[in-house]
Amino acid sequence: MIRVKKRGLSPVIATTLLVSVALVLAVIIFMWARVFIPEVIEKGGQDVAMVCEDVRFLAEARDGTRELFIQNIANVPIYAIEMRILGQGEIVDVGQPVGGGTIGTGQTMNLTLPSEATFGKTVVAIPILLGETESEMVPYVCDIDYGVEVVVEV
Amino acid sequence: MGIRKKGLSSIVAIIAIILITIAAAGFIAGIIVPLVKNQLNEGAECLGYEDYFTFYEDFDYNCYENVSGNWMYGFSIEADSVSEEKAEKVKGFRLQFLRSGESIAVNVEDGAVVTNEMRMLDLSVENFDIPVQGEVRTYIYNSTELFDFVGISPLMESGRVCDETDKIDIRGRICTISLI
Repeated sequence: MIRVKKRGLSPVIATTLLVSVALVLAVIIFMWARVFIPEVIEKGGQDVAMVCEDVRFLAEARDGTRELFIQNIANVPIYAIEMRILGQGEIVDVGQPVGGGTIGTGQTMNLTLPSEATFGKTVVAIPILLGETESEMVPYVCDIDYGVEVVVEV
Repeated sequence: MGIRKKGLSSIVAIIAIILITIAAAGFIAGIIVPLVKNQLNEGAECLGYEDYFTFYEDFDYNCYENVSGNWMYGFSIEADSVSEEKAEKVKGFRLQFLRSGESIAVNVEDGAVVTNEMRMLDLSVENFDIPVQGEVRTYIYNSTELFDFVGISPLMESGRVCDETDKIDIRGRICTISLI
C-alpha cells in the first residue's frame, strides 16, 4: 500500500484565508474609492444647495453709516452674508461684512460694509448657510442667483 | 547504488524564499507603491473641477468685433464656489479657440503679465487676475483669425490641464458694447 503524505492546507483554513483576503481587498478598494465620492453638505436632511432656494431676505446698504441692513423674511436661518461688487465686466468678492451672527427667521441685523463697497456701487449680498457633513458643520455659500442686489445709498 | 543529492536542503530553500519575499516586499513598498500612488493622485487631481470655469452670460461679453482688420474677442469667465483649499490648486485656465481645421490654445495664469494678444478688460490692469469663489472677470483676446467655438479648461498648479469645463459657440455673436 502506498502512503500519500498530505501537505496542503485544510479546506477550512483555505476558505478562511480566501474570505480574509477578499475582505482586506474590499476594504482597500473602498478606502481608495472614497476619494472619488464628493462629500455632500446637508441641512435638515436636504442638500444645502436646494435649501438656498428657500432663502428670502431684504438688504439695504448705506455709505454714510457704513451699514448693511439685512432682514430675514423666510424660515431658513442665514449663517452669514458674503458680498460681491458688480463692476464693468467683473464681479469681485469682497468677503463678509464685519459683525453679526446667524440671522434667524424674521430677525434683522446691521453689519458693517466692507471698505470696497462705497456710494453708488452695486453690491450683491449672498446668503451663507450652515450645513453639515458626516463629521462637521461647514458654511456653504449659496449661488449668486440667490443673492440680493443693492446699490449703496448715501 | 546510491543517489547523490545535490539540491538545496529544505532549510536553505525556506530561508532563500523568505529572503526573496522580504526583498520583493521592500521593492514594492519602496518603488511601486509611491509610483502608483503618485499616478493615482494625478488622475484624481481634476476631480471636483468639472464645472469650475464657465462662461458668464449675464454680462454682454462672450462676443467679438472687428478692429482694424483684426478680431477682438471678449469673454466673461466665472469661477465656481469651492473650498479655499481647492481654489488654491488652480493657477489659471486654458482657452481653446476652434474653427474648422484649426485650434489655438492660450494659457492665462494668475499674476502673469498681460500681452497684446491677451489682456484684462480694464486696460490699466498689468497682471492677469483669475476669478475665484464665484467671481467673474472679463478678458480680451486679439487674433487675426475668426473662430467658431471657444472652450475653457482649468490649469492646475502642477501644470496639468483638466478637461474642458465649458464651451460656447461664438459664431455671429458680434459685440454690442465696445471691447476697447
